This record gives sequence, C-alpha cells and structure tokens, in this order.
Amino acid sequence: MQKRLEVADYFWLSARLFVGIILAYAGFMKLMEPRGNFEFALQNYPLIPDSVIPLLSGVIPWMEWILGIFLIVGYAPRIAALFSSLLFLVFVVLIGLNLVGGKVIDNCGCFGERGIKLSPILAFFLDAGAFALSVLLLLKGYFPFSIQAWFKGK
Amino acid sequence: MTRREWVTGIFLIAVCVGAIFFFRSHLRSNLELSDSNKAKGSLNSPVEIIEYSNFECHSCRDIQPFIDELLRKYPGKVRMVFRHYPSYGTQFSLWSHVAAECAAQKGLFWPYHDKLFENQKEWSISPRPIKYFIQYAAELGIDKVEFEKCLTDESIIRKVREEDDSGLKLGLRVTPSFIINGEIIVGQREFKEKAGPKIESELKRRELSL
Repeated sequence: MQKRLEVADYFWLSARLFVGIILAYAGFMKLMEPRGNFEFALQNYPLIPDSVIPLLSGVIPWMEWILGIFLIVGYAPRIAALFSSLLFLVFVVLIGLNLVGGKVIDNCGCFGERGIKLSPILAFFLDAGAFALSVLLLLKGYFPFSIQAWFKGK
Repeated sequence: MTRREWVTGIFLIAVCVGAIFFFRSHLRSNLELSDSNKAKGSLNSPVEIIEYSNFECHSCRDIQPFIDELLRKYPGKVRMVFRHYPSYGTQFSLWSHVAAECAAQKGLFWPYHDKLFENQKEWSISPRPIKYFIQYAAELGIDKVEFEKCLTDESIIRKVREEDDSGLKLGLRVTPSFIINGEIIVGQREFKEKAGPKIESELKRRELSL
C-alpha cells in the first residue's frame, strides 16, 4: 500500500514538473528575445486578430514563465494548473486550425527563435499532452513535494 | 490563503521578474563591439540607433531613405551604427558584408553601403557577385589588389561573424532590426512606426535630466 502511494506521488510530481518546465522554458526563451520575434510568430495564426497581437506578445511569455515556476515549485498549483490548461487549450486550437487549414510554417514559435524548434505537428502533440496533464492536475488537486504541501504540513 | 502564502507568492513573482531582467541585462552587456568605423553622427549624440542589417535583404534596402530622413530631421542628436547581420541571407550575404567591412577599413563604409543597396538587384542575383564587389570598390577608388586580399582576410571575416553572432545572441530573427538606446525594434514596419516617437521620448528625457 505504501509503495503504491509513492509511485502515485512520483507520477503527479513528474506531471507537474513536465508541464511546469515546458511553460517556464517557453516563457524564458521568449522573454530573452525581442518581443517582435513573438509578434512575428503570432502572425502565422490567422485566428488571432492583428490588433491583439502586441498585447498577447507581451502577456503570454510572462504568463508562461510565472505559471511554469509556480508549477515547478508547487506554489498555488491548482490555480497555475487551471491557467496552464487554458493556455495549452488555446495553443492546441491555434496550431490545430493551422494544421487543418494546411498552413505550412516551419517553426511554431513556441520556444522563441533560439529555443527548441518544433514543427507544428510536434508542437500540437506536445501542447495536447501538456493540456491533458494540466487538466489531470487540476482535477486531482494532488501536489506532492510542493510548497503547497509544505504549507499544509504534509 | 494565509499571510505567509501571500508573502511567498509575492516573493516568487519578484524572483521571477528579477531573474528575467538580470539575464536580459547580462545578455545585452556582452554585446559591446568596436564598430565605430561604421557609425554616423557624434559619439555624444543622446540617441544611438544600432541597425542589424543584411545587404541582400529588400526591407533593409527599402528602409534606407527613412533612416536618412531621420538623420536629417535630428541633426547632431542621433548616432547611427551599422552592424553586419548576414545570417538570414544566402551564401553571398556574408561576402557582401566582408566586402563592406573591407571598405570600412578604408574609411569608405557608408559610400560602399549605399552602392551595395543601390545595386542590390544586380549583384544579389549574380552567380559571381564578387566581381561586382570589386568593381564597386574600384569605383570608390579602393586599390583592387588590396581589396581582393582583404576579401580573404580571416580577421575581417571574423569581425563580420562577431557582429553577426551578437545579433544571433539577441535572438533577432528579422532584418532589419534596430536597437534605439537599448530598446529593440524588429522589422521595417515597426521601425517606421516606433522610431520617431522613441527618439522624441529619449530627447525629452534627456532635456528633463539636464
């Protein structure tokens, strides 16, 4: 019984770290580059109106970075999981619509210009996986080895 | 949420924001280059514009009249620095920049720069553009033998690559890209929109601090 619990702990910890590291890395790489790079990347997604691109290019990298760090250290993890699932859902829809529409882009822009370059199909599956894990974390609400657990004395 | 949790949250956000600003400033402080041989305007100008450009790129050519207009509009107030950024061009981009750097060694960077942009359609589609680079140099009175020797000079190629690397380190993915007193502006359209207001605000800030 004790051993099963440990395995579960490691699964939830790994899931949280996986989502957190993807988000933090994506945000960090974008924040290290000129904002214009991400603006150019967003222009590849026709669903996004041009008028909101400057706002999104400023807000999304900071959201990714801070949510990612929150998930990694396990601070307010449920709120972070909620926002990260929303963020990944948006990414999945945007990339999915591009794929369905046959729009060819060589780099999704997910990790900036200097980070890992992913084809849209790979980015789609990565975001879909991260979305699923975020939703699981949100629904389960179990965050072992986290600041939250430490606050609760677990 | 308890007070302790709030404080932890605020601390975490402050660390996240601080880390980004620290890494950004660290990244940019490593980009000082000795590029004074490709600068226009006084070192004391309150506004410095660094242009990362590629002689083969059409937008870089098209933005030149706008840059000239800015320099005319703000005489003595703007210093323009050119940096080689051939990374996003073809194989010949690098050689056009090496040629321009050779002209810079003779103090003729800007006339050569203008020639490369004016004749871009000619040399950029040629399978042997080197002959044009030599011809443009000769038209400016640069010794042919000396220029040809310079084109294969490792130190010149290294200098071009050094500037190119600085652009890559900044993550610039588009030419032309500009840095106006530390603020990065990517692309021709953005520069046309933002350069004027940015220069005005920098000049105003300078006036206030005097």
